[in-house]
Amino acid sequence: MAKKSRRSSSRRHSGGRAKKQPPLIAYLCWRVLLIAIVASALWIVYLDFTVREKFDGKKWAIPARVYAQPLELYEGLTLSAAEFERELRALGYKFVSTLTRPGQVVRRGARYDFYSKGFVFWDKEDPQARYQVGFDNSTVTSLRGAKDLILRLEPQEIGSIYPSHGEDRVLVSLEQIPPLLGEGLIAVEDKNFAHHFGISIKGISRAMLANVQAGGFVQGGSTLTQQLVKNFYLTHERSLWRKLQEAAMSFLLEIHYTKADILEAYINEVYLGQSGARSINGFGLAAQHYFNQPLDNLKPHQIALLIGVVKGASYYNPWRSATRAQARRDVVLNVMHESRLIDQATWQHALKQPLDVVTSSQKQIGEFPAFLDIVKRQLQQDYQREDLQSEGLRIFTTLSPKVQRETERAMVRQMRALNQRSPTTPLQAAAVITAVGSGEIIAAVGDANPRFSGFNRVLDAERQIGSLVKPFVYLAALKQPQKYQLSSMIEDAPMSVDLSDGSQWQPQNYSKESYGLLPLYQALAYSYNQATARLGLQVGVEQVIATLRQAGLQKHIEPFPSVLLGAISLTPFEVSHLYHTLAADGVYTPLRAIRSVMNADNKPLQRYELSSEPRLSEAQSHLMHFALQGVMRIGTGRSVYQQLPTELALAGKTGTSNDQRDSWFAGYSGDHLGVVWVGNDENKPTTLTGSSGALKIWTDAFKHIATRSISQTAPDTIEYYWIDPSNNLRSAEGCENAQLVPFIKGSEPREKTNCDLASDSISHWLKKLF
Amino acid sequence: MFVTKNKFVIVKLLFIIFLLSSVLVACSSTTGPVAIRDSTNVDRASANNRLNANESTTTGERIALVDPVAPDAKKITVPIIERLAEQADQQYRASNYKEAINIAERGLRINRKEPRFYLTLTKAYKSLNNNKQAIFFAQQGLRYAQKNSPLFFELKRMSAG
Repeated sequence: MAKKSRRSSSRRHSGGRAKKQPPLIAYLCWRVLLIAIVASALWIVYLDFTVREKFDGKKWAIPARVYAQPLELYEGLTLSAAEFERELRALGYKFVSTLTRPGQVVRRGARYDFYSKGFVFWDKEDPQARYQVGFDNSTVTSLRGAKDLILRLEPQEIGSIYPSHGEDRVLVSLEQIPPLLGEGLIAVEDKNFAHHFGISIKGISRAMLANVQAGGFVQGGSTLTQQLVKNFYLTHERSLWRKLQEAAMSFLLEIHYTKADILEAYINEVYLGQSGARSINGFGLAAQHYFNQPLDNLKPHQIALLIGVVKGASYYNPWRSATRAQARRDVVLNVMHESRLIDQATWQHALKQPLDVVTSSQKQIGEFPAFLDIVKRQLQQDYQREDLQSEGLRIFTTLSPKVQRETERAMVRQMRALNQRSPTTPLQAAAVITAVGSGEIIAAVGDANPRFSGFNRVLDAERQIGSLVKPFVYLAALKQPQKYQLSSMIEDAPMSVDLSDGSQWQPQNYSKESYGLLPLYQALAYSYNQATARLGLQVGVEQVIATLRQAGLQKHIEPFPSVLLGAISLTPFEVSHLYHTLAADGVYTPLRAIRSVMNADNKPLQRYELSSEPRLSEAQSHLMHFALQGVMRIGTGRSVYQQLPTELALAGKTGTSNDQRDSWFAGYSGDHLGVVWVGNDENKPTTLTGSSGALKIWTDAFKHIATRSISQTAPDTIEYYWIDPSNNLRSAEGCENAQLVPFIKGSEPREKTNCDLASDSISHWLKKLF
Repeated sequence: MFVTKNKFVIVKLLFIIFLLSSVLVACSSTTGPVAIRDSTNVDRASANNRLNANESTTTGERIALVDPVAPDAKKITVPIIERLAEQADQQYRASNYKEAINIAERGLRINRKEPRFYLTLTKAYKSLNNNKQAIFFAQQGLRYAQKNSPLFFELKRMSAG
């Protein structure tokens, strides 16, 4: 029964279809339409999800911003007015006749009145304020307006750590932008912004007409919302499908968000220029890029230029195409005036203004690749790469822009001269300058071309250090004061050491000559290999390596005799650690390039505090200061005093590796340590020694750095005695050849020499006469 | 008459010069031992004089390598150091140890040999239970503190752990 009923039912259905069946084409159309409706609905749902997910979430990866150390001013600081002026210019200060707003400075002779821009430092916020600084003979003599007797200028921004896509931006909120920027942008780019729903039919029609008339694409009809959607969500592909997507998403964006939200997103998203691999996005960063000013400090003609650049950052590049950029700016100013955003006087005044962009040399961001590399590598020990690229961290570093610039200039000048001397092999170089005591790296150059961002020789060029190791050989000996003093005699004569592989090690002096018996301090000053090898073998290679470890060496070194003459490969950064311990009176300090890190909300995340450990005694350290000053006064480093004042006490050591493949110099004053390497990447021989290569760069750099002498204050564990250096016996003041030498108390020689009074000019004349 | 008288004067003068010269030459060729004078307590001016004198001896190369200064030499202080030392100490007393460290480090960047900053660092790190670093800073401060001053003794006490 049931089966019958089903059959009859089936018949009814088939009979009905035969009678009422619509045409197949209509049926298919309905089906396609239905599918299209469903697909469109799904597509809209998908787009809606995409629009909301990105807009509600974290819109942008905010790169970490990296700052140099701020210039700190106080009475008594060694700083010339010219240097101060250069610093202000680098920070974007404008020299004016009357101080009216932040970022301005008035010069009256050697006195400067300036209006600071304000800055949030790692410890507190310094508000915008007026100050007065007076100078006399390269010294700050007066400082008015500063609380606590000290004033910090805003630090220079020296770079950012941005994601691989290269987008960099400084986020700003609508409240932070000048009203003229928002209103001007709308007037120029999308007059109907307040009224449309993401798409402007009028705008599209106008653009289509213009394009048809021109026979190609000449005008876009996009609203601000569409431009935002295109940049924020889509690619720059020009197709009908993408246009459709753009329109749908714009509509959805307008449904979900307010006009203020959309405008704020646009202001932060829009592409406004390029700086190398770095893309300048948003008006916040563009204000810094073009004018080195915060956005709220910009004047109408500057705002107009930024709005003008929106149309084509490359086409209207004010450095490359100044006339075109100025014409575009004036168009924007005209629109502003027509829209009654600026009055007649402001309009006229703005039209007369120059473009006012910073000079190319003031675009300092990304200028210091070697230093930034050190910063990044130190940060990566504590932070994930992704956090550095996206969390908007603020990194305060130790870089001194002035010292960095002087080191770079010295490098460029001297490398030009050195390359002319040996034109066959192109030379490379690296330099690190460190503040003695704090262990702060204040300058780093990793390539003969300081702007080159690639192989960073400061951190990665491991090269044989040659005679740079010698101070540690002598130090190892001086740690036994009853056996070795600076005046102890050592023989510089040919020697031979049997090695475990059956070969012989026979060190020679650079001159291939031998110099006989001489005191330790002279053997070090003249950098004699035979004397040093003999001493090192007497003391023990292991003892020398232990001394290097005390000074901060972390690498493993096999105790071969050749270590005594510098057959150790180290980077300039590692050498800086060793010599910093000598320069800082025997105190080991891990070198650092970062002072502190803050998050995007200006909350301190981490401070990189000074940590140090006394590793050499005061007395040992004083002996080394003396011996290394000997290098500079009478030894291989003495050429520095052809350019630097003789009253400036300096210490240092030259280094030359086998076949003159590497030219090194490590030297320090009371305030600064500089380590310089010159050679070539192929490790081929050069014609340079430490003196004729690296020392030239070091001298040139130190000639331009304000620095003080090494302190000559002897600790109370040291006593000075007059010594006859030819026999290590006690002599007296005025005796022929007598030398004043420091000794660890109780280690001085007891036996006295006979004294030939040193001849003076009168007795010399009389001797000749009679 | 005038010529004869002048000749006599000239001869006398020459004789005197000869005598003086002989004495000087004799003195300059003395080979006997002379008193050894150690120079640890000489002042800066006399050290400079020695330096200059030495420059004219032997080969003409400058021989004196350094110009030693006695440990108790007067130190130059600038107002900013005083102010920062006070501030660092105030922050320490207010138990703001991190801020005390921050200010002391700032001071050391200006004068790395000011022992008061090392004392503040020592006390602050001790309060933060970083005894190792506290001792290291105390040892450093001792290098630069006036010997036998109250500051020296305080640093000495703290360097003992």
